[in-house]
Amino acid sequence: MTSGYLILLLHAHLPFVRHPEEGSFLEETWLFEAISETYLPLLRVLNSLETDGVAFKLAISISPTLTAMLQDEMLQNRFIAYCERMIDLAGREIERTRDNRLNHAMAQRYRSLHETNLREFTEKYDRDLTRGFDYHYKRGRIEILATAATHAYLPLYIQHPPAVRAQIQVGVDAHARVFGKAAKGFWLPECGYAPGLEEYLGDQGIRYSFVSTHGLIFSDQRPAAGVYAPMKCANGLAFFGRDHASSNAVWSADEGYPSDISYRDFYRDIGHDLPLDYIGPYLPGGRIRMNTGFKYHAVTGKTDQKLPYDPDAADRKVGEHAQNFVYNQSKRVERLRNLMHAPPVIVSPFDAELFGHWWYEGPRWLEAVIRGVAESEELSLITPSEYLKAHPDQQTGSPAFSSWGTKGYSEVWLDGSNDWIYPHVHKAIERMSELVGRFPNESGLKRRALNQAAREVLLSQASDWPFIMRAGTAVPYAVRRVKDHVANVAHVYDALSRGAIGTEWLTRVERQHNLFPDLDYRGFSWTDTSESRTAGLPSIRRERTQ
Amino acid sequence: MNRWTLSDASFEALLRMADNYGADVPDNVTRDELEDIVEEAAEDWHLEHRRSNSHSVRIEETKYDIQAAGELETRAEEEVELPESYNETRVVLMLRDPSWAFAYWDLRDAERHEFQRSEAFEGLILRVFSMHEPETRLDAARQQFDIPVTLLDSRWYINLPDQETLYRLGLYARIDGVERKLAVSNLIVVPRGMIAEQPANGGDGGDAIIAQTGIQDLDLTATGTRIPQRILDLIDEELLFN
Repeated sequence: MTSGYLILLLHAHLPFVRHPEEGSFLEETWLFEAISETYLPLLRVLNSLETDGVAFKLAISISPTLTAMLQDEMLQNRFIAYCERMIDLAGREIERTRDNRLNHAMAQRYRSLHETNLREFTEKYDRDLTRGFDYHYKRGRIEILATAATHAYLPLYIQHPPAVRAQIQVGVDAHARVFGKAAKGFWLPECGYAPGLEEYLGDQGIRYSFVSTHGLIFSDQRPAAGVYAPMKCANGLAFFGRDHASSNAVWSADEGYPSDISYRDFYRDIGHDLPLDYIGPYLPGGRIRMNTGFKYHAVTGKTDQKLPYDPDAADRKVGEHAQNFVYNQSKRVERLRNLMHAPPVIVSPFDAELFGHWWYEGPRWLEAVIRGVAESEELSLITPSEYLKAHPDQQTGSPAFSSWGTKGYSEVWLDGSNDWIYPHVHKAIERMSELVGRFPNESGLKRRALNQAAREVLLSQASDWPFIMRAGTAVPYAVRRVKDHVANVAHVYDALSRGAIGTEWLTRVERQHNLFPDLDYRGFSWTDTSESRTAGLPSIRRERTQ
Repeated sequence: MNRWTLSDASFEALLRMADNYGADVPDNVTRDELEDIVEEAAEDWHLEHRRSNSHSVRIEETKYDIQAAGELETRAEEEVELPESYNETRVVLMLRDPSWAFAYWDLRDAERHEFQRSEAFEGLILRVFSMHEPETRLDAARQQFDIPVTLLDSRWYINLPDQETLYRLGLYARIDGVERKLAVSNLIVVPRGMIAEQPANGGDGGDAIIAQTGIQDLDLTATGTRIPQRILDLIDEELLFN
């Protein structure tokens, strides 16, 4: 008999990167790598489980910017070209590694990967991967959550209610447009919660969301069930708490499964290791060093002398680690069941891109875990909605301000490397609200301009930009994106103030930033004067209305 | 970043990179010297950030990791410049964590010029007010402390001495010994940053359950003078460590 449940949640997100003005653009590779190494492999996992009749339940959130890119014809064509380049490179690698047994086997695997990816992308999914996820969604095996429009880290915009409302509303609407039904759950970007967000979520019909471990543990009411049952806010919205122990089994630098010495090392890549006269044709401009996804070394340990990667040894480890994970969670729910009135639920959320892109063996591990849980008597997979339906009575309380970022709060998105963006992005939000007030019911060219300004505001708020500035990976690009979006809002603001908007400029920007086709700029209005008085103090607003 | 990347960059791009990484570049630096400076600064910067970022953040950054190639894509003539000021006197307060807030402010051009031209201008003050109720007037605040800032400053991180309280900022100018209030910020609510007390009617083994969550292993921002372990003040230590 089931002692408890496991919610496996995968959050898939990439920022909106689309550059029709260039024949190819470096940062679009983020999408192509994620499709190749994460999304297609994950779909193969789901399909394999279905084929074998293995019952599974997963929660997946797919961000609106990601679905927009997955459904974009230009990016679909560019991904096909990417696959063809990788297949060509794989052919050369097979030849180059013919005298090295292990590397040769890996080169063949890479060719098979890219050939399979190309075939499934074009034939099975007709270039639109959202269909693959929707297939399982409609069959009740996965529950797809909505998330913020451009993945804004909402606690840093809590003083700007129109921006928070727009991020959530546009995100919920995008979900409904892509998947044809209303989302019940909402993934807060970076698990970023600030008091009052539940009101905005509830207004959009959302019934549950997630917070970090301490977000629930530090609630205003001491949680009787720890993070092993959700808490319900005063408005009825339930918050599940992330389980640290199960998440740590994967995320931990020292003890997490991906750090095993047998697994494939992420950093050693032929894009950096091989001479330019060989690898140059597969690099941007023939010279810009970057990852290709062709990697031949094992983690090995804390050394620069990496051993060759042995896929068979890694596969054995996958089995061991999956078994270990299922065993540990089974034991935990048994222990917890003896302490709780209701069956405990362990919530394990992960960035989807962890599986496959960072942790090459991740999708296989995930599949092995799901198969292992299916055979477990103590542990069952469940979706959040199913859990809430089965266990509707929850402790009432309000989570605490929190995130799953470094140090548990907002430090990653607000530090010396990125704090400069907020005066500008906040100003863009305020200007947008002012424009809504001045032009409450426009049509034609002005409406197009206002809608585009709203898109630019949303795009400026993506949490990716301050994250990248902090991480230091593609800083100039992130800086340029924030500046461009803020400047575009200013352009519309100034043009409408002058009474003249240039059609050519507008058309160019619309074509480049073409997501959210149904966006209504009026979502950036202040709903009433009470929002301005109590912005950032939603708990106090609730007290006043009681 | 590697030497192939740097050797492809223009001299101006290298100077920008050095500036981005906070490196000092001497006058009359040669091309080779500049490449060395940038390479060393980049390594130091990345090392420091790896230390300060959690492992999960380092994993997430690999989604965007295409190895500094973006450095070469930015051409000076394409860079958009945003205004340094929006010609508006205001101060904004943002909560970062239970111990730190971030403030930014701006001045109307006319006010800034007035202060710059005035010999009586002594400086600006950020005055931090703490209170328990949102409607509290500043002159009735529970506590306050000052942070002197200059006309060259526009952003500041503020250490918050207390949790479970509200804070508001005032921006003042001091002119010839007299303070002029320029702007007042929004309120922020600083959370407790620790577990709530046990309810009077007790729990049903809640402490034993909370001990299973691993909360004591989370690397959270310490609050005030409390050491991190004391966020669990109110949980039986035996449950945590047995």
